[in-house]
Amino acid sequence: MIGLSLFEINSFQKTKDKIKEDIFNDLVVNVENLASNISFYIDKNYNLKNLKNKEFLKNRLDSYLESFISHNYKNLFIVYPKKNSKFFIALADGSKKEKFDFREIFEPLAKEHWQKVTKTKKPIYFKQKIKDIWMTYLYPVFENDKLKYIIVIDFSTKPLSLVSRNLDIFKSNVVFFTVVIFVSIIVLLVFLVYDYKRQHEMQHLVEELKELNDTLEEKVESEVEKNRQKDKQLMMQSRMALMGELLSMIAHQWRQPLNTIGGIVSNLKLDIMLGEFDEKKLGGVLDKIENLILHLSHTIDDFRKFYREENENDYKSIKISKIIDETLNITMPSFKTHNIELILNIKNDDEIYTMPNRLKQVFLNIIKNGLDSIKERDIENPYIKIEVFKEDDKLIIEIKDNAKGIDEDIKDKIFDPYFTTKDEKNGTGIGLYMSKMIVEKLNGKIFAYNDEFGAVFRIELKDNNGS
Amino acid sequence: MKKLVLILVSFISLFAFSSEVELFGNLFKVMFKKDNIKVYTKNYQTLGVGLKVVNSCKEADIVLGNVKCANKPRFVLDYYSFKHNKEAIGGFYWRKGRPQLRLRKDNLIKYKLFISKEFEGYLN
Repeated sequence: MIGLSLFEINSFQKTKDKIKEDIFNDLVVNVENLASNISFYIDKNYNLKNLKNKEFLKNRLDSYLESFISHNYKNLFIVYPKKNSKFFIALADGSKKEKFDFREIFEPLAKEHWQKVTKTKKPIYFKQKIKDIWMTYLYPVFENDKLKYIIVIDFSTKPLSLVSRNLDIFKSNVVFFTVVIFVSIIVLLVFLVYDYKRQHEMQHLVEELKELNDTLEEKVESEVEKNRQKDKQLMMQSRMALMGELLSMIAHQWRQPLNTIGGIVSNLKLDIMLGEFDEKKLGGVLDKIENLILHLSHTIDDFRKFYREENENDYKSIKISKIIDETLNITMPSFKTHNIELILNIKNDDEIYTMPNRLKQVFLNIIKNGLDSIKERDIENPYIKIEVFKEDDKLIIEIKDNAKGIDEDIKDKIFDPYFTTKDEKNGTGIGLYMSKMIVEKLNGKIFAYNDEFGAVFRIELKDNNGS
Repeated sequence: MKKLVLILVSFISLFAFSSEVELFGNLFKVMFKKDNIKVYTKNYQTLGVGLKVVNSCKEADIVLGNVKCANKPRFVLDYYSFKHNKEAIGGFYWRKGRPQLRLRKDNLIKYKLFISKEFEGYLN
């Protein structure tokens, strides 16, 4: 910066000096031309001897010289040397004020310059005072090596001082603007560096964020997959549990018919052994056995229907009563075995658009839990009530029992996965959790609470009527 | 020579009241060949440098300017006074911004004033 400024100042000074020199030279050339023209005019129009001796000629010449007086030329006069004297005599004077008289004696200042002019016979110019703007130009006119006269012109160098002053102002402004520009460049550079760093940091942060995002996506995907796998596993476990339940129920339902078939066959064998076999009775016996086998087959069908895999496209319109009936087909033997009353109160049997098997699983689970609670608590006059009704455009299914309800301290956990009050052999803890998942998947809600008699499981389904 | 140089320096360098007074002081001392010169003038209140302003023409050695005073050597301070007053022994004035000193030999002799060689060049 300092170097640049010094270079700038140096260049500027040189330029300024050159400009001043050129302007001054031009001024001098103008003065020289003026003096030369005057000399030419005098030589052409006047006889010097006459001019020296006749006042009117001086006056005429004075008038001519007056035309050149201006703010640039303060004094314009002509003198010739006085013999054997240091004085000069005025020949003509263009000044409007303080005009030389005819033949007035004049003593010049700075005599060394006047002497030099006389010796060198060449024009010369010099400053009148050190700090003055006025300079004196002496233009000698010789004839045959003899000095005829000297034309004296006091000319102004004000243009120089004006130019110099203005150039100095310009220089100050240039220096100022250079400083401003330099400072601006510095500030700009600082900002650019700062901005570059900031952008670099930003880029780094963006990359980190992107990496985090990618990782997050992966993590999320991973967690979602885990959850999916967990749900799948739970579903499998649920289905395994369901299968277990169903097998248990199949065993339960099949025991009695199989026992009956066994009894009939034993009796038949006994009759044949004892020779009391009656061919007429055989048809009836075989019919009985056939009916029992048919019942067993229907039971298988019921269970197979129940256990069949359902996928997303197995929605269908079905009456809720049908779903309940098919569920009860499975569970009814348990009701009979334990003398549990089934109370059905279906107030609304509109068709609903749902996944029947999934809903059956839910009902089966809740009914099974009710049956287990009743058995466990040895309830007198046990019942399970199933009510279906509409409420605010929702289909409500309530399954109630009178097994004295769910314990308060576990009521909030019963829908949690793997929560069970039963031992490991009898309970997996996923039945109600799966029931909740299924109901919510069917855009419904499930609640559990106690009434004065026992537990109430309330399932709310949107009444979509096949939509 | 030294006095001449002194006067010339006075002419060239300052052209102010103080230098003019100094000039008059040196010049008049040379003329009257004495150090204390009594000057009768309206142009200056005080002069110093060996010159004393006096209140009457009678007391004065020399009259400076155009103040009325007869029979005393007069030194004028402008060109036209010098031109028209043929009795003046000399004058100091400015022409074209240049200081001019003039001395009249005849009048100097008349008043028996001395002029050294250094001042001979200014004799008209």
